[in-house]
Amino acid sequence: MEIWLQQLVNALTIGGMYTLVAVGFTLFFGVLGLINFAHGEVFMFGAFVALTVSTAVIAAGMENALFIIVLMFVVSMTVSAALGVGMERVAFRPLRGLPPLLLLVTSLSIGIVIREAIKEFYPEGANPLAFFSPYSFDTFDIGNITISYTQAGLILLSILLVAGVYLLVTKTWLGRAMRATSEDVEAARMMGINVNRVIRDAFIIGSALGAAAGVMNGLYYQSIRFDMGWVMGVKGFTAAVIGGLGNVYGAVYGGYILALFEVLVVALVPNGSQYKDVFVFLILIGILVFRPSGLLGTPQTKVG
Amino acid sequence: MPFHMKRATSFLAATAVALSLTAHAAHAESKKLFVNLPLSGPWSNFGDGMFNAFKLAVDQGNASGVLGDLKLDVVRGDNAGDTAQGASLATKAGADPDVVGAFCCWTSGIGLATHAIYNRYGLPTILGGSNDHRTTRPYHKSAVIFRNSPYDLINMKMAAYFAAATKGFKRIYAIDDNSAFAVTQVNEFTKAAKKLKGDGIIIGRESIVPGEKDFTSLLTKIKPLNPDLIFFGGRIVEASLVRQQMKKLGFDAPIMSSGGVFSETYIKITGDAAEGSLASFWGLPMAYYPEGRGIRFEKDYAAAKFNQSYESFGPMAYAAGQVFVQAAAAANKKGDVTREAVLKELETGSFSTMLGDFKFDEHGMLDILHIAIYEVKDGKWNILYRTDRAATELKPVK
Amino acid sequence: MPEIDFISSQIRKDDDRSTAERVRDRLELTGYLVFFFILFLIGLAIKDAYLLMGYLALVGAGAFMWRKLPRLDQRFRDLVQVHKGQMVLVMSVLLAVYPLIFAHDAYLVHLGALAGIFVIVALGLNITLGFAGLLDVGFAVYFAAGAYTSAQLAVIWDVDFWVGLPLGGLVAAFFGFLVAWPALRVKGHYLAMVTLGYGLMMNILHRNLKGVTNGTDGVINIPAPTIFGHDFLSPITVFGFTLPFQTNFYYLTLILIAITMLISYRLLNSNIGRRWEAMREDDVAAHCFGIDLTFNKVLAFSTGAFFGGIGGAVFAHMIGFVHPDNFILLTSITILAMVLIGGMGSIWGVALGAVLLIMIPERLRDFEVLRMLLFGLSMALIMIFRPQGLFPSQRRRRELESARVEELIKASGKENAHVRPVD
Repeated sequence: MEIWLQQLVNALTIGGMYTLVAVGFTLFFGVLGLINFAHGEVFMFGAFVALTVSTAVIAAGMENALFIIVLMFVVSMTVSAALGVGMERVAFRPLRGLPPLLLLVTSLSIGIVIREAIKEFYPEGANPLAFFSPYSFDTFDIGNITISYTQAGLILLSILLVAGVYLLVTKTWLGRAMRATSEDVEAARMMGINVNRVIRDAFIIGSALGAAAGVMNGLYYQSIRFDMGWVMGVKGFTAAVIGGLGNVYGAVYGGYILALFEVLVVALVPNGSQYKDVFVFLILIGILVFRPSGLLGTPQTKVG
Repeated sequence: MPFHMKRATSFLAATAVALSLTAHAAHAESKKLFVNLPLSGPWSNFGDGMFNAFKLAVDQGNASGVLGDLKLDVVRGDNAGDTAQGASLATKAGADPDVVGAFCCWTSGIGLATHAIYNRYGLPTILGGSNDHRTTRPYHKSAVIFRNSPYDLINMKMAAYFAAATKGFKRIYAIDDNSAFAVTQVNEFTKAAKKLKGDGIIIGRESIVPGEKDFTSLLTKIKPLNPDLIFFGGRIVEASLVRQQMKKLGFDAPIMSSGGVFSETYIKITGDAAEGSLASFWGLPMAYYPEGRGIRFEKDYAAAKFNQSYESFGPMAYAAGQVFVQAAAAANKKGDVTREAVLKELETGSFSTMLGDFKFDEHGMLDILHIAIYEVKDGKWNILYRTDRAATELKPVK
Repeated sequence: MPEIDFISSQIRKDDDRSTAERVRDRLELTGYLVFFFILFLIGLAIKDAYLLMGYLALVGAGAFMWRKLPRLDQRFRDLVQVHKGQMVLVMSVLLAVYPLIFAHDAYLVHLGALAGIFVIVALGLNITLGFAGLLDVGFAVYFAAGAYTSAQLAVIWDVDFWVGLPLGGLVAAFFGFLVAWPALRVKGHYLAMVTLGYGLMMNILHRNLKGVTNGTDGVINIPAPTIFGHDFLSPITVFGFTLPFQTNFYYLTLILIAITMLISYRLLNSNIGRRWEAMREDDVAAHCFGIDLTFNKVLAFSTGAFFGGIGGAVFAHMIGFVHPDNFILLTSITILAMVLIGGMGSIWGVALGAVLLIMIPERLRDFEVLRMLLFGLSMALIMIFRPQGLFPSQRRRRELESARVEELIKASGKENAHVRPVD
C-alpha cells in the first residue's frame, strides 16, 4: 500500500510538469493550428534563465533561498514569454495560413536553433549543470512515504498554476476569446476579437508556463542540460493529445493521466521502464485514431 | 543573360584563385591523424578533454624534433556521440590517403560501428574509451584496432571481485541505460559476480532510457527488495539522477558504476548525494603514474590553457597521441610514413608514454593495466584499491 | 494571378517556336544547369573554412538576387517545363561524371552516394506526401525496415544483396501498409501525429527488440554487394584510370534514382496519380466520384514506404552497419525537410532538396560547434522565405499562392464571406 502511495506522489510531481508544458501545446494548437515543437526548448530555456538568475543573485550576496526561488520563477517566466512572442512574430506569423506541415518543420528548426545557441553560448553549456536547489534532501515522512519539501512545494505550485490557468480560461474575457478562436478563427474574428492579440497572449501564457515547468524541473532534478527540452516536448505533447489538442481543460488532466500511466507501467510491467514509451506512444496513436477529442473530451470539441 | 554570365565568370575566377592558394598552403611532408570523438552533444566534456590531450601530445611531438622533417596534423572530427555520424567520419578518415592513424570513439557503440570500417581501409586505430571487447582481436579479426585501456571483460571482472569478494555485498541490483556499452558492462559484471558468489547475488536487473529524468517509480519498486548495492551501467546524468532520487526516497544502498560515470562532473552535479558512490576505472590519480609522468602531463595541460579539463579519459588520449608520434617517428626513420608502416610499428614497437612503458600484445591490447576502485569522499574521488600490471589481483592503496 | 499562370503554361504546351529558337532554349537550359552544377562542385571542393564562409555568403547573396528577379526564376522554370528531355539528358551526363571529377577524394564520392540514397528515400516520401497529400512524419520507419531486413538477411542467412534489396523494399512497404490502417481514420494534423508516434515507437522497438535488430549494438559487418564477380569494395579501373570503390555505390544509387524517378513520373501521370491528386485536393469529393479512398491511401503509403526501404537496404550495405541512431525522429524530420525544401510533389525539386540537406551539414562541419545552429537557421530561413520549396512543382506553387492570397484577403478584413478555410 505504501508503495502505491509513494508512486502516486511521484506521479503527481511529474504530472504537474507535464501539464504545464501540455497547456502550451494545446494553446498554440488551438489559436494557430500549430504543433510547436520549439516549445520543449522554451522549457529548457526557462531553466537556463533561472540558473543565470540564481548564479547572479548568489554572487551578489543574497542568501534568502525562498526569495531566490521566487525571483527565479518570475524572471524566467517573463524572459521566456518574451522569447515565445518573438518566435511567433519572426517565424510563425509570416507562415500563417500555409499548410500546417510547414509550420511544424519551421518550429522544429527554431527548436534546433534555440538548443544549439544555449549549448554554444551559455558558459559550459554542453555539460550538465548543477541547479540551485536548497531544500531537495530535507524530507519528511507521512507513514512510510518519504516526501521532500521541494517535491511538496512543486506539487502545490503546479496545482496553483494549473488552477490559475483554469480560472483564466473559464472566467476572463481573454479566456473566452481564446476558446472562441480555438473553435473557429473566422467566427471569432467576426465577433470582433483581435485574433493577433489572442495569439500573442496565448504565446505569453504558454511560454511562461513552459518556463515555470523548466524551473521546477531544475529544482526537482537538481541538474539541467541543453538537451532536456526534447523529451519533455514529446511528453508534454502526448499529454496534450490525451486531453484533446486544442482543449485547455483537457491539458489539465492529460499531464496527470500520462504521469500516472507511466508510473503504473514501470511498477507493474517487468522491465517496464524500457518499454514505457512504447506504451505511451501506442496510447497516443490509439487516442488520436479512436478518440481524437481526447480521453475524456466531449465529441463536439474541435477536431482536425 | 550578360549580367548572369558576368557574375558566373567573376565568381569562378575568384574561386580558382582561392583554391590554388589553399593548395599551395598545404605542406607536402605532413601527414594527418584523425580524431573521431564526441566533441559536441551530451558527452562533449569527455570528448573535448580527450581531443585536447591528444592534440597536446602531438603538438609536443612536432615541437620536440623526433619526427624530423615530418609534421603531424590532427584532424578534428566531431561525431556528437551519434553512431551514424561516427561511421560517416570513419569513412572520411579512411578515404583520405594522408591520414595515417585514427583515434576513436569514446562510446562503445561507435567503436562497434566503425572498427570494420577502419579495417576495410587498413587504417591503424587506437580506441580511447570504447571498451566493448567485441571490437578487437580475438573477438573480432580487425587487424588494425589497438587499445590503450583494458576492455570491459577485464574491468568488470575486477569490479565484480571488489563488490562480491572484497566488500562482500550480497544483494546487488543492476541497472543499465540500454546503450551498447552499458549493456555489455552490466552483462559482464553480473556474470563475474555470479561466478564468484552464485546466482543469488544479483537480485534483479532493469534497463532505463537515456534522456529520461525520473527514475523514482523504478526506485520505489526496487527499494522493498532491500538491495545492498546498486550497480549502474550508464553515464553521468542518469547516474546522478538515480543517486539523488535514491536519497530523496530514503534509499541508502551505495551506487557503483564505471567509466562513463567516473568523472568530476558527476560529483559536481550530484552534490552531497554523491558521497559514498563507488566506481571502477582504468586510470589512476595523476600522482600514481610512474616517474611523475602524470604530474608532468597535468602541468603541461594546464599550461596549454584549454577551456575544458582533461576529464577522466584525457590521460589515455594523451598516451595515444604519444604512441602515434613515436610510431610515426620510427616509421619515418625507416622510410615512408604510410598506414602500413605505422601499423607495423604499432604491432612491434614499444612505447614510452605517461601511462608507463608498454607494448601492444598480439590482440592489440596494451600490456600495462591500471584498474582502480574509487569512492567519493569529501567531494572527491578517492582511490581505494588498484590492480597489478596484468590485472590479476586487487590490492588496497594506502 | 494563378489563373494567368495556368493559362500561360497551357499556351506553352502548344510549341510553335522555330527550330532555331528551340535549340537556343535548349542551350540556355544546359548553360543554367552546368552553371549550377559547377557552383555546387566548387562548394564541395573548398577546403578552407573562411573561403567556405565567403562562398556561402556569395551564394546567399545570389539567392537573394534571384528572389528579386522573378522573371529569371520564371524563365528557368519554363525552360525546365518545356525541355524535360534535355534536362534529364544534361543532368544524367553531369551526375555521371561527378565521381570522375572527384576521383582523388573518395569521401566526396561517398557523400555523393549517401546523398543518392536519400534522394531515393525522399522520392518515396514525395509519393506519399507530394502526390497523395498524406503527411508522414515517421518515414525513418521504412528506411529502418529496409535496412534491417536486408542487413539481417545478409548477415544471418547469407542472402545476396540483390535479393535482399527488393525484400527490404517489400518489408518496408508492409510497414507502410501497417500504419495506413490507423491513418485511414484521421487526416491533417492528426495524421501527422499518428505517424510521428509510430516513428517514435518503432525507434524504441529498434533499441529494445534485441532478437530482431541486435538492439543498441546494431548490425555490424554487413557484406558489400557484388555484381558479376566484381566486389563493390574494390576500386573500378577504366583505361588505367582508378576510381575509388565508393564509385560502385554511387553508380548503383544513380541507377536506382533513375528507376525511382521514372516510376514516380509514370505514377504521377497515370490513373492512380490522378486519383491521388483528387484525394489530396478534397477526399470527400473524390469519394463521391467513386474513388476507393481505402485502397488508394494504403497504396500511397505502401508505395512510398517501398522506396524508403530500398534506400535503407542500399544504406545498410554501403555503410556496413545499421544502428537505431540512424532512425531517430531527426532522420524522419530531415527526410521530410528534403521534400518540403525541395518542393512538395516536384520530382527534381525533391531530389535537389535531398542532396542539399546531406551536403550542407557536411560542409558546415568546418564550423564545428556552430554546425547544427547554422543548419537549423538555414532550414528556418528557407521555410520562412520560400515556403513553396526551392523548386516547386507548378501545381503545388499555384495552390500555395492561392492559399496566400486568401490569407491576405482575410488579414485585410475586407472580405470574410466566401473564403475557403485553409486546411
